[in-house]
Amino acid sequence: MEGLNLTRKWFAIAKTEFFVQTSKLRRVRKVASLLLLVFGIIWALFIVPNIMESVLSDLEGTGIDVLLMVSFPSLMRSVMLFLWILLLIYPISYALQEIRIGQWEIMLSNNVSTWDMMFGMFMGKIPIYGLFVLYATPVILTPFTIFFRVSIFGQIIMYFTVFFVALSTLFLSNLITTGIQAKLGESSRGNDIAKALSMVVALALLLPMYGLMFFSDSMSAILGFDIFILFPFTWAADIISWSVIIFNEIGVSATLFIDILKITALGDLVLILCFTIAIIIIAYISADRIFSFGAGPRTEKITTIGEENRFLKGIKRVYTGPPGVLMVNSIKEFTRKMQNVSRLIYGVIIAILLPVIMNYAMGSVPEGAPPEAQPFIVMLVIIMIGMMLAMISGVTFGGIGFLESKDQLWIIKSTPNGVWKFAKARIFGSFILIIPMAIIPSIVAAIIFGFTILDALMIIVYTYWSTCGAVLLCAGVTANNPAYEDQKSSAFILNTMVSLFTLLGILIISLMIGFEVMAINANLLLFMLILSTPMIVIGAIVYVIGIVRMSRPDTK
Amino acid sequence: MSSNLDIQTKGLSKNFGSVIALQNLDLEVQSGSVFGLLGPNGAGKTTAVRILSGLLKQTSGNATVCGFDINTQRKEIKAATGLLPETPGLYSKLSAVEFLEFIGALNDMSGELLHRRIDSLMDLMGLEDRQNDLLESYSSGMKQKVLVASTVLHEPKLVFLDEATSRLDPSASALVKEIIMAMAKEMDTTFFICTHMTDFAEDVCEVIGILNEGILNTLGSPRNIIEQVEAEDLEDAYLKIVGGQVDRSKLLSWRD
Ligand SMILES: Nc1ncnc2c1ncn2[C@@H]1O[C@H](COP(=O)(O)OP(=O)(O)OP(=O)(O)O)[C@@H](O)[C@H]1O
Ligand SMILES: [Mg+2]
Repeated sequence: MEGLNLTRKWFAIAKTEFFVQTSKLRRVRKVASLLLLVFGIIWALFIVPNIMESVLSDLEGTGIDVLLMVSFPSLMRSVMLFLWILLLIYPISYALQEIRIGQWEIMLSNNVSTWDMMFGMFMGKIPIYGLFVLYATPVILTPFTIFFRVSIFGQIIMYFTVFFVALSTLFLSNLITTGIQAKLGESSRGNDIAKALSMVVALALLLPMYGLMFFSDSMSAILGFDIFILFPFTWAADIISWSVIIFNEIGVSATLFIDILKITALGDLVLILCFTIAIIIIAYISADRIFSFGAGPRTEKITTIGEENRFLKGIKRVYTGPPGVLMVNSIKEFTRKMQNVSRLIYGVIIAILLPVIMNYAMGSVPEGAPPEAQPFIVMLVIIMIGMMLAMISGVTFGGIGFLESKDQLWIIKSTPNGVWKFAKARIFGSFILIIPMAIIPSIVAAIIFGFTILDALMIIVYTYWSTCGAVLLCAGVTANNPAYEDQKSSAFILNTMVSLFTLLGILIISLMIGFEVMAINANLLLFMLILSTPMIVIGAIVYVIGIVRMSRPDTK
Repeated sequence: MSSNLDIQTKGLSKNFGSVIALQNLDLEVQSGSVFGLLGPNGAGKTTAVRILSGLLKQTSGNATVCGFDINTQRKEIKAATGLLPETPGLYSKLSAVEFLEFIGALNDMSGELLHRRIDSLMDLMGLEDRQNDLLESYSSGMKQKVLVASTVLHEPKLVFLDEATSRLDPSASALVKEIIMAMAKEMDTTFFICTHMTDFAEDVCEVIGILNEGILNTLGSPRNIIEQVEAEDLEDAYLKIVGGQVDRSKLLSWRD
């Protein structure tokens, strides 16, 4: 034990955390981080200000500059809200994808205090998210600093505020993450719950935000004050706004903004400091409680399988023999994973929310808008529903849900034509599960917009068809470059990126062709077929190529 | 003559970049016999099994398995063999019965026959009480039992077992031993077993090969090998051949 420096344990943990996060860079991580940092500083001090300067000089006299001037405190609030959401939700849902209690046990058994662990994990995250903030902040702030000619001192305060808020938000998300993780334990069931929960957390935080955006006016009216004032991101945004007002050199005075900035600069500062200190105290007090490994959360429930339900029996009746068995077992295996189901539900819920929100937004289309605006927006909503479902299903069925492990692939491969049989069962199983996913949001949209039954049917077919195409494409990408369930692997990240960009690319090109055809022959059915068919064709080709490659014997 | 051989390799080699995993393997395994492959970690045992079962391409050399060529007749080989891979890759969200159903279906089996077999194999392995529980809740030994069952489910002519008994308790490993011997005798099934358990190998294997750094340097019956190096038992012989002599001065010096 003599060799261990007790006071620096959190540092070792932070280092490990950093290594885990940058594992893609491997050996070059030090050089790469340093380069990124240096470039980030150049970016913040020279590149962004210069670009912004020229953009702003173009805007001069267009009226946008006046708009910017009047509305900048609200603008600042929405920007900070966005940053806040990003820094709060992203680390939570990312970390919860994988439970690492095993690692904790190793650390705890090495006599590390729980506070050290939490603090170390937080510090380890700072480099990555710090870089993100370093790159994002200038883009947010320079328009204001240039426009209002904020003095250097004011700028320093502005930047400092953003960094401070980013840090405290990250700390909060770190606290929430570790809390949830510790309560769930390492059982694979707990793992599933955590993954499902990460989705729910994201949703639970996102939905109120949506609500806030759309109903803030009426809510504020009811409460008698601006509801935004209750949120930490508002305090931070207002501090920045105050710095602009106090340190500007073009003579903007505070009286213009008294209506919006209800709290004084000092008040905002005190609030945000209290908030941060409160989080740290809570973290410190609860550290031991959160990280204690009671028997409770780690007891595992053994799941015993009952009789097959009627739906699965029906499939077996239609597809008799081995193919039916493969398909049914593939469906069972997929749907028993909470993470898959929660992802799909997430997709369906958002797809259902879309028409609701858009319908609300359409109510506020200005009077003078051209009459084509209405049907155009409706069409846009339908296309967006299709895209949304396609992407989420693609990533779920094709990405994570495709194959659990390399060892599983060995087993499948060791049977005659096993990969082909597996591939067929997997894809047709997915196609069956997609049916309700396509139908429910389509029907909701049809009811909200008052479509005819025929139109509704067409929308269902379009949604289904394009979702199937997306699943084929994503599964094909995965088969070409198997990533299994390891969501931190570079293969997985690469696959997801490639899948999403290809999906978007194909959709956009199909959309453009579709509009061309619409101009000649305005047939909605034709339009939707053009929109969804290229995906199916390309997806099928990529999938077949992937399976051919997967079924070949390894060379390494 | 050659129809009596289930495995026949000629100069089989495999490189992973600069690592030579297998070098010039010449091996013949008689039909209906039990062959054991021993060797230290990283010797190339798993590599050999993967090549022979059609999962991995060799760098050079050639082989026939059950009379089929490993370059051109992989599908036939896979139909005729069963493989128990080194690390169990089970579906965590299927029950044991469902998993075996799945493997059976991959081997084109279904219906009454398949279910009867699954039932009796579960019975034999002593898992009948737990057969409908999800595999995620199984212990590693229980998983291994399920895998053993999945390997023999379609009555393969040749079975590859890569460390099949490493996680089993003594009675389970005795059971696997009995299954192997019964299948070899009654059904003329050939076994190709990679193991680290010398006593297990000594009991069940008729022929043993010792692989070291990709090279097969010893081949013969257990008795034969023991006598060759004048050892007490197979473990002793193995240590003498592979060189497992421990440098005692190093045992505790890592603390310095
Ligand atoms: N996919 C691979 N890529 C690169 N090298 C590999 C790969 N598979 C095996 N090797 C290397 O080939 C050599 C033989 O490995 P193999 O798995 O065959 O050993 P083994 O005898 O089965 O060992 P063990 O007793 O530990 O299971 C090792 O040096 C290993 O590092
Ligand atoms: Mg091995």
